[in-house]
Amino acid sequence: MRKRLIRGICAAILASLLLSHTFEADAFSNRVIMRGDTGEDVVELQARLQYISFYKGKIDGSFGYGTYWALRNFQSQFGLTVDGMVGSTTKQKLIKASQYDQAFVNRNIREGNEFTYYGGVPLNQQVKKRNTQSSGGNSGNANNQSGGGNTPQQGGNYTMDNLPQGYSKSDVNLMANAVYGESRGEPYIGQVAVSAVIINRVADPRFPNNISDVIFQPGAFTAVSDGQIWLTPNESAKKAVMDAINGWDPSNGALYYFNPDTATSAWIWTRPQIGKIGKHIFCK
Amino acid sequence: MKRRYWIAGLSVIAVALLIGLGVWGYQEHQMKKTVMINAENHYQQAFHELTYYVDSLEESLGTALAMQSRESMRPQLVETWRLSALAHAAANELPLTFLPFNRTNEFLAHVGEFTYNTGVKTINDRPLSNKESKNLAKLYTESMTIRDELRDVQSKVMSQHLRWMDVEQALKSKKQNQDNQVIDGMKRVDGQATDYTQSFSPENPRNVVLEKKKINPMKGAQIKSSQAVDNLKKWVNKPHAQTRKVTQTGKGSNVPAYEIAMKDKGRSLNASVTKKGGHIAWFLFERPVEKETINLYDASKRSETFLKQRQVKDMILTKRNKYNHVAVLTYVLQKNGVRVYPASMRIKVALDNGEILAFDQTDYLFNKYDDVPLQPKLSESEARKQLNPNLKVQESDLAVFQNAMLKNVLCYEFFATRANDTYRVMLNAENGDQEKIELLKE
Repeated sequence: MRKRLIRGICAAILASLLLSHTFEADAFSNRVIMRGDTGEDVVELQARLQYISFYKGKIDGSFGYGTYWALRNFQSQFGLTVDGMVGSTTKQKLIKASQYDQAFVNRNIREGNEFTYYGGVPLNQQVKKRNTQSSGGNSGNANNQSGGGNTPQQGGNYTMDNLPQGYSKSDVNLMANAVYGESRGEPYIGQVAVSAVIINRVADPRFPNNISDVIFQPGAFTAVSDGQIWLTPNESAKKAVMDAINGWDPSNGALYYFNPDTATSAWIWTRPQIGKIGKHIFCK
Repeated sequence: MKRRYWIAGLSVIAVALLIGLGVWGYQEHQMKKTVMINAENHYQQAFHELTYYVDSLEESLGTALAMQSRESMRPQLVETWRLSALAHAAANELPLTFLPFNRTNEFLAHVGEFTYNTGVKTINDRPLSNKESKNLAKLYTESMTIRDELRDVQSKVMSQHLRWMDVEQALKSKKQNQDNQVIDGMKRVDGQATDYTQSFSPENPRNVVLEKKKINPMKGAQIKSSQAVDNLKKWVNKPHAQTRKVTQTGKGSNVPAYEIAMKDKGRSLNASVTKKGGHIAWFLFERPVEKETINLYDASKRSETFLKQRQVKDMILTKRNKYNHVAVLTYVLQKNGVRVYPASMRIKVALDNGEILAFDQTDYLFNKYDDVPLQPKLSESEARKQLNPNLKVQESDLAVFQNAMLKNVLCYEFFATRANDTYRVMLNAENGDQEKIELLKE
């Protein structure tokens, strides 16, 4: 009787071990993961790489350069093709070489704790609890303020600073304000064009060389002069700004634009015109 | 009797109201005056600062001209660089956007660029080249002209009590050519463009904006607007899209093109098709994307198929940005294993169904034929010696990079790490100069 019980327990433990093992093997989704990705898969990748001491950065679910180099080093040491992408072979090797305590990692990410996940170190020594007051909600707030820059994932916790090089979140927000104030009645493509004009001015030596100086240059934008820049921009304006800083320029290189019905400057008519979008005429 | 009381009472109230109104009006007036004076003082300060900095700049440039080696000149050049930045900031605080007050700004930008390149960026101590000396002398002459003109305006402002607030008013009103001496003076400070731009990321060359540097005229025959429409439909693979509007770009455009607006199943599509050759410079679909079902890898497969179907070859994915459920993938041309960063194109993929939402190859069209010699003069190990020993090189290759002078140059590109940071260092493959160093955030 007793023997049987013990045997039963042993079997149960074994089964659960096996189960947990297969569960682990399935933990990665089937997708190929690459630099620029965010999400659960990336969290697992980072945790596993950290477990075997290849990755020393934060486990935050965004696949940036730090993770990329760690992965490449792993691939080269384990005789894999060094391509910086996580396909099925790399996944298999990673799963064999490391462990992943999903519950531990996810809990700490959710709670916003500072933590690491090195193999061979007791887990409770790797967590630095965050002050309870600000836990959790903080990262969520940061997401909301960030305008177009971030991509909250399903869990809401994985964010990535995906702005093109040279732009900060405040630049994007300020531009969205200006674009909204200047062209909220305009078609979307016209809003992208207005954003592009701001960027073109930054590139041009005859204008200031950063976003905020271009926007606040006295007399440059009517929305700044009459205070409409401080209206709350909508999603469309933010998207337009993101499209423009990612390289789309429907204005075709314009430096000025004006509304022919309300333009007060005679000089603006002397500029070589490029085209008209909505109510605005764009010119050089 | 009663009526008299009434009248007396009412008139007392009326007088009280009048006095109140007067006091209120006076206070308002005073307040407005204070604000106006504040604003005026701010403009005055900016202008006088500008003249002061240009003054010092002229002196500083003159001093540098008398120096021999680059090493001895370096502090002077750095000082000039600093002054140019200060002057630029002051100039941009003046209400002159709609006035051709551009030469001063351009001159300052050019001085900044030159002093940075010769005094700060160049690492070795070779004496100034002939060209550099000539440039320095030219800037010096230019600084004297600009200084004189600014001084002229300044003395007028002082002696005739001209106000910048009036300038602002004059600029806003239609009758701009009224007798406003400040504007007249500033108009004389006008000239032509110099070549300079802020440095952007390698994949974002700016020569397209600054039309002067048209490296490659478009190839192909002139096309009619109807053919442009056909080309576009074929390119976006929407044969049944309805054309809403076709316009031609005016003479200010960096490339003559047809601007086309279409509707396809209720969604707008805007695009620009070059007149010469009928290339699709860019297009942009509008539609909301609410969820994410595919990841970056899938998106990159989609965009690669897109390029392949359109016979665009030898492109390599160098940058991926993901936001608002869309991915923007940047591809650059790879010639003989060398990445030609200025020849870049961007593809925007919707992450809900993998549709290509937008495409832009303006930079590619402008830069793909620029024949930069792809043979480095320096060996890679020689270039590596210029790197900070604390940097650990992870990846290196050859790349063509558009530097701040809008020139496409061959560089060694090093991706290197220090602690948790990743840097991209561009070292000129001809002389080892550091063209750009970037702290990568992605």
